[in-house]
Amino acid sequence: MPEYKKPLPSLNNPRTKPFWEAAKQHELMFQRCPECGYYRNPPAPRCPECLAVNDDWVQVSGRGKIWSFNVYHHLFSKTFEAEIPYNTALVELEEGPRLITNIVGVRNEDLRVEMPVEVYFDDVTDEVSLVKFKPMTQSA
Amino acid sequence: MAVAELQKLRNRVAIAGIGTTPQGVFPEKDGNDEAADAFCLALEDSGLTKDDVDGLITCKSYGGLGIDTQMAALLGLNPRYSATLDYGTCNFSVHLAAMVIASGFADVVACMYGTNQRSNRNFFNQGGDDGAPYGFVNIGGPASLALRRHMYEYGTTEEQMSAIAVTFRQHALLNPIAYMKTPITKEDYLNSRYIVAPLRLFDMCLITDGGSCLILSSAERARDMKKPPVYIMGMAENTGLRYFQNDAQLMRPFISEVAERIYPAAGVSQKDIDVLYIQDPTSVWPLQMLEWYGFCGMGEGGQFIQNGRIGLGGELPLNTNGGQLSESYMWGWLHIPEAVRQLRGEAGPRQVEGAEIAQYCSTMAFHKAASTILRR
Repeated sequence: MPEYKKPLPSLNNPRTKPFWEAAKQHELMFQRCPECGYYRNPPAPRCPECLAVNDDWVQVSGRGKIWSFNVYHHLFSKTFEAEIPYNTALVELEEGPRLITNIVGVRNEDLRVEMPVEVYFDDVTDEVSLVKFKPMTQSA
Repeated sequence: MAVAELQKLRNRVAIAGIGTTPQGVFPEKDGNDEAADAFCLALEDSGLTKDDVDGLITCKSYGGLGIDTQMAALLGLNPRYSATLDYGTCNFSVHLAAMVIASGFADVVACMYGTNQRSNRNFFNQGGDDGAPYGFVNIGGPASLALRRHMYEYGTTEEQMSAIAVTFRQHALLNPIAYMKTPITKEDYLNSRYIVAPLRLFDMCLITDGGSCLILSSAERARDMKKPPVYIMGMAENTGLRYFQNDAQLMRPFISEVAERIYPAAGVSQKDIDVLYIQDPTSVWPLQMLEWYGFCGMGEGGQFIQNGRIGLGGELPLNTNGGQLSESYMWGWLHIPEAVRQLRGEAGPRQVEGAEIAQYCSTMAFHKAASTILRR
């Protein structure tokens, strides 16, 4: 695998570690409050809804829709030089949590707000799989 | 209850002096040097000496500067009250100063901000752990998501959006301290490159080095000073601090509660505002805030800004200084000084005839909102 130079998430943060470990296994997991059922994203030591300290990690469907998206034409970070113009999007999952991500498998000009998408795990290094999304192949 | 208490502050505190430095590239100065320059200009404007200042509110700036301990030492002050706010836009600092004066902690408060962010090339581009791996960096990231969603929900167009950048540039041409001096047309806007689509080059602010300072006192005391006082009619704030990457953050509905409180607090309505200021690191801020403050209906912002309405000579002149898009970024610290100039009748070729009441609306990124209504 060629050297990957773009920013990577920290794998040493105990709070977000379960998310990235699951992503490595190509599973999309979120912290959910066992008391009130609220999905905590970002992961938190207490539930911001009910202040409970316990937590569960649960797998979600990976299906969602694009709340909004943009296309970076200006190069803010040199490591993205080969990608310009690239999209970023805010995807809302069926279960509620939202993620900043990239949409793959579609031309930027074909992206639409509310487009249905499903998770795609991009194995960018041996340790990290980034959580991206692609247009839904069939209606669920 | 809350509004009744805010009403008691009406016209009790005034802005007695303003100071703004040249805006540009000044690598020989750091942020504190710039704030000190602005302080001296504000003293001169108010006719006070530094020994009259017994309150100091500084605003943190790039590189760990802008702290009250540093500034007080630099200016040789031992104020009775001092504080440092971690964020700009000027509104939050002015509100704290008004509370300090109204409660008797100090009589004359200087609020200041200085930066050399341009010379140091610190443009807030780093992004967080949740965004940087995907290339989601710069304020243009969330701002463009919000604009795209606004376009989707309300049909706002790029052509409509051009009115903000083009109008502010026209204003900047009349402002001696404005940094951007090249006129732009709607066509220039529509032909300009995208930074983060749908945001174009002219939708994004420019960063410069500079400083700004306001001196506030009780209304009574301000009446004895060199310049006519500009009274604080109303103030209100609200936060959306817990929201994270959702409608409630990016579309900023929490702003509406500021509108609900500030007009009753000031005893005026939107129709009474002669000249309006909206913080504009990107053109999305004016679009959203015109709607949340009720100058037009939700989703009508794109239409509202057409046909010269927000320009000089229009029904609601907006950002007569050129705003952050064309005057200078300065974290929103130049809008209130411009409002003061307008209300004093000192705005020269960009003077809004007979301006009596001005309003400034700002947000700290997507997290907090504040507004101030001023009158002469």
